[in-house]
Amino acid sequence: MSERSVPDWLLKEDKFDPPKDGGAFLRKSALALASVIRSVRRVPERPRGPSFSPPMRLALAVLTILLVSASRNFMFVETIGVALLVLLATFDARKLARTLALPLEAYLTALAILAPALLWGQTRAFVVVSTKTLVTTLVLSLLIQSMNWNRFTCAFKTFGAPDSLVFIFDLTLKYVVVFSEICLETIDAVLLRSAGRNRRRARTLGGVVGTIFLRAQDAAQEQFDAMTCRCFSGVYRRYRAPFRRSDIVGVSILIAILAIFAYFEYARLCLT
Amino acid sequence: MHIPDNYLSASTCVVLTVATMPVWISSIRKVTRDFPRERFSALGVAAALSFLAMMFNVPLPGGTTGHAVGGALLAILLGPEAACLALTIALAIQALLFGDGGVLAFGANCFNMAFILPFGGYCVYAAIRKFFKVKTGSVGDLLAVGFASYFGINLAALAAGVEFGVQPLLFHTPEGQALYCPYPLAVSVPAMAIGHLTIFGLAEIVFSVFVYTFVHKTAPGFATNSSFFSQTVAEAAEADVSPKTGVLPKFGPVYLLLVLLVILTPLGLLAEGTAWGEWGVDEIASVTTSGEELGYTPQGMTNGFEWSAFIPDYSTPGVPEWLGYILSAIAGVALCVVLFKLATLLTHGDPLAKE
Repeated sequence: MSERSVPDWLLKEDKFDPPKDGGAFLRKSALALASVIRSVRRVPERPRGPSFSPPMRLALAVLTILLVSASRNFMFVETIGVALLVLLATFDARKLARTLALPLEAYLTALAILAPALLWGQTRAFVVVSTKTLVTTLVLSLLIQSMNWNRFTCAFKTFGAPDSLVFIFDLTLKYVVVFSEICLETIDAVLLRSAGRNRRRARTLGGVVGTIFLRAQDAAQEQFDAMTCRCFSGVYRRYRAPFRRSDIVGVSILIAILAIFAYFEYARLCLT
Repeated sequence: MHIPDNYLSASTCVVLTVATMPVWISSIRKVTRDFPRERFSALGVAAALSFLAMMFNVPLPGGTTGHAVGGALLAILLGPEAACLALTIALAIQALLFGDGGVLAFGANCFNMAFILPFGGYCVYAAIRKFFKVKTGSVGDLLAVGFASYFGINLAALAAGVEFGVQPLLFHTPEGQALYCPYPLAVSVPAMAIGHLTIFGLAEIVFSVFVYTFVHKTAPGFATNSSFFSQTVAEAAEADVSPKTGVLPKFGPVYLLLVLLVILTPLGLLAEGTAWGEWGVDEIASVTTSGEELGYTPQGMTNGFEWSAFIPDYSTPGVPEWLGYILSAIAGVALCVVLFKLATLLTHGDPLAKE
């Protein structure tokens, strides 16, 4: 069997440096949409500790956020911050990064907005407001990371939220995913079919948005028809979240947070 | 041994920070190369151990206080480079969050406690192990740990004493008043040495030997310094692998030790007085040395840099001191662990990007 040599032209490395065109804007939009879909479709990891029911989680988070916002004793904010730090210390690096991304963004924004307070000598306000921002957004981030979006619907209903609110929330989340997917597919198609140099590629995004708007109208009609067919008038049955054993721990934490808040507020009153 | 701000001139701080830079860079390189992602939690735990050790103040007759650092211990258990990084993080948390040690003097404190202490102690331990052919876990090994930690902390105290002592020689007013630390070498070196050669050195030995024995008996997988533990710990670490992940080593007993130390931290409040060289601006003028009161506040201190820490001196007004101390300990420990977990994203890449 005779040996065959590889032709020289095949060994040469292809140099393909396409000229810059207007596709970066579309690609970034596609990535942003993909991240939206991922965040809504995310399946939270199963917690290692006690798993509270969705209403219990919502109650814990809302109460903590309210008390941290209302607290006039900074020690309470510090205590909650320390407790959250201990919780974070049990996370692995990946979960930690995911949980801290939103609060750190909010914290840095708060620092930037409050920076003029330092010039006026309001150091205390600077520290207190920025820390409260960090702690409350951290609680929110932990809540979002801990359960699926549909669990939020259940939790809202348990607390007697109006049907219209639950319906809008539910529908919004579902259609965020549906329309993001359509949008993503359309952008992909535009990027694939637009060959060569096209400086005005970003303009096609306007067409994509227009298409989505038309599809949204159709979807709304289809949704209405589907609801009519299934005799769904937008009234949700009250979701009875089973009271789990672990919720006893949640109730204990809730009481502890209230007690700590009361203690620090009492201590503040005594000091003043 | 935590040098506060304005005790050293800005130029001294810059020189010591620049001197520590190569150590930090080489330590980061070595640790990034040698430590897998799963082992990074050990660094956080190590930093937390040292953080807690520094919260236990020990009194010295005469009214000053000091504490153990555990630098040589960490160097023996994890290697000097890993110890350097763990101590750096612990010192950074102390300076920024609790105002313990200066922010400008951070480089100087790291030079003493994150470089000289662990590397010095480690060299002594390695020399003893090699010279006397000591086996891991033997009485000789414990003696080596004790001696290395004693040597390390005294070397660091000597360095701090020299840094304090050269200030009045180099920086003073035309009238002869010191601008920064007012005590010359003849005062600062003996003052730092006396405490560390006696009580504080003893505290460092007790802490190091106790933790070393505890780790060796309960969580040998924690010690990853292959220079000394390759024979015994490799086998133990293999048996200590978590069945869930197959990789993550279990540090359960070490975490329990941390909890115990956190609960005991208020004992550090029993020691009253200020450590030598850590007086506030309001008290330095009345400090008496050899029967003589200083009588003035150095200019560099009155007009110096001031950092408003989050929880100054580990306490918050309106809360019992012991409670503030415990909360500070919990915050420090949790922050050490969290920061080293986040560090894995920098050293080993972003896992989110790989999803």
